[in-house]
Amino acid sequence: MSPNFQIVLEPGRWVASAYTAALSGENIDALGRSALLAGTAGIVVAIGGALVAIVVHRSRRVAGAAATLLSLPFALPGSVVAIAFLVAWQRWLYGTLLIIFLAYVARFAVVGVRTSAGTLGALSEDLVRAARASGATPRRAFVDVVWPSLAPGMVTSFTIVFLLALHELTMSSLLYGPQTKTFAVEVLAAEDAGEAALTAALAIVVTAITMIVLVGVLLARPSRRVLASAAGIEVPEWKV
Amino acid sequence: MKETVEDRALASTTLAVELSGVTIAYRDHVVLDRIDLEIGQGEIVAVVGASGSGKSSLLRCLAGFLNPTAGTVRIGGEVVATAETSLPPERRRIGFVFQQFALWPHMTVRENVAYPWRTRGVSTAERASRADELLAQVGLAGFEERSPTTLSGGQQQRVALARGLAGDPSILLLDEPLSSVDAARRDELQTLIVDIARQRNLTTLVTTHDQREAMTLADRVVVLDAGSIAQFATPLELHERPANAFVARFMGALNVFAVTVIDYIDGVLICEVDGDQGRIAARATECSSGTDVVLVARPESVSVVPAGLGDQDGVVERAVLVDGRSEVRVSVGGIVVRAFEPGLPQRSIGDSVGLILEGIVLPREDGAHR
Repeated sequence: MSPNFQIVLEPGRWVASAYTAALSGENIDALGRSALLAGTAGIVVAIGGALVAIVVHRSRRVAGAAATLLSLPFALPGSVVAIAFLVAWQRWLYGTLLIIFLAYVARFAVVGVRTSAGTLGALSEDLVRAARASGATPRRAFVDVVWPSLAPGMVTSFTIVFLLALHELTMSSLLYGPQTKTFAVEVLAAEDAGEAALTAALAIVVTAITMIVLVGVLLARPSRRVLASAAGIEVPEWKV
Repeated sequence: MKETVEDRALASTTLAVELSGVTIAYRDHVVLDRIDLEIGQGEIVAVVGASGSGKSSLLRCLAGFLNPTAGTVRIGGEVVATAETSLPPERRRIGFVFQQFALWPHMTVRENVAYPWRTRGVSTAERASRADELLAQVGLAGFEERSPTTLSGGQQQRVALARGLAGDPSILLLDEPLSSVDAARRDELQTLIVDIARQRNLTTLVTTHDQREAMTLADRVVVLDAGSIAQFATPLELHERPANAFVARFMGALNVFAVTVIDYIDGVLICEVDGDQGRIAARATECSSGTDVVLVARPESVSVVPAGLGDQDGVVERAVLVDGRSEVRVSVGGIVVRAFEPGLPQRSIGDSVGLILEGIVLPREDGAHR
């Protein structure tokens, strides 16, 4: 057993310093980078997925093909996707955050598309017709009726992609450059270097972030109610 | 423009809804076939027919959800749709109530009802107070802040009705409004719809597959058969003078026979039922021998009498209690005639009885056997 773990029993400098190290220097930079990558990938996947779902919904013919194509990067091993990106883009993008971001988006795109496609599939055309009969132009009907139905699903897409991308290791470890280490890569490096305390601290940090995001989403009351009603689940008043 | 006396006179006689030659056809399928329909201001019209008869399409065409492939649709005298042009639904000032309510789950009950005023730029406070007023009218005061998903089917349809009335539509269109509502709540909702339409002198079209519903709520009934109007008349006329066998059958005449007239003796028509099934006698207007007609006898116009005293004898096949009266099925040489008798069934299977049919004679049509 590593001596570091024995010291955990005594409250004191070892643990604190591990956290200090975990939240400073390269590590905090990497965390920031990962959060940025995961956040932007989540936003792009949620919004882009909704847009793709809308297009697919309107032209049902391409729906099957598009869905299958978008599932592919998710179904393949991350390493395959990463190498594909290197083969295609490394001449221009090697060592940039952009290549990692693109790989995340490609890999997780299916989450955004499928979620929104599910919402649209369950959305009755009559809801839109009711808006039109109530004096809403097609655009207005979309903003007032379709969009609010999509929003909760998009929050879900964002959350899932954010959490998956935040600790994504396989693709990141193949795509990172000297300036673009992600948090998961740092955790792996610390573990590799035998720094058990630092590894543990880094892991705790990413776990804590995950928990905070998850609990935050679960507690977001309005969206939960909308989510439930969009899914057709009756939520008794006292539970909302 | 200055309004002249003639203009005003014209306006007062302007039809609320006018369809002329309206056809909706797809490549291999005709949904509506040259529909002509004129509905006056404040009329309540029921559109009945089996599923696939085109009744929903007729309503959707008026709303602007479907465009005619031929013909002209006018609402309040204004042309809203032809094969070439169509006014979008949002510019037609209609109220539409859907079978499955179609309330927006992310809005409160009040927001749902206020929405038609929101799209027309009425201020938040003003539209909220108008919505509350409507909700009180449909008996849902106190439900303003609720989510529609927490309401029962009947309550949801009341909200939908209130929303249909919001925005002050010139016509109200209801597509099977009672079909998704519990049977126990149907009557009161139907009464509510009629009361509100009357009170506002609001031209109302309701589709239903239930002829009883149509008969009780409407001033006039459109009977649709495979995309064509079989008859457009008051409930009484439909009952007394069905235009053809289809309408007669739809209106609950269970005894409809395609026959050839053999003889007419003392007010009794002797007929040979098609397909060599046998003969049947009915009291009806005179027809010359040899003509092919449709003989219709409503079950309530069939009297069951002791054997030998009727125009013909038969054997009771079945006698059951339905809706508080007994339905008796009598076989006259293989031809089944149904009769309604008040009270509990008095007959037993195998009883020999006499039958007197009060019939109506209708011309033969292609639709006679449908």
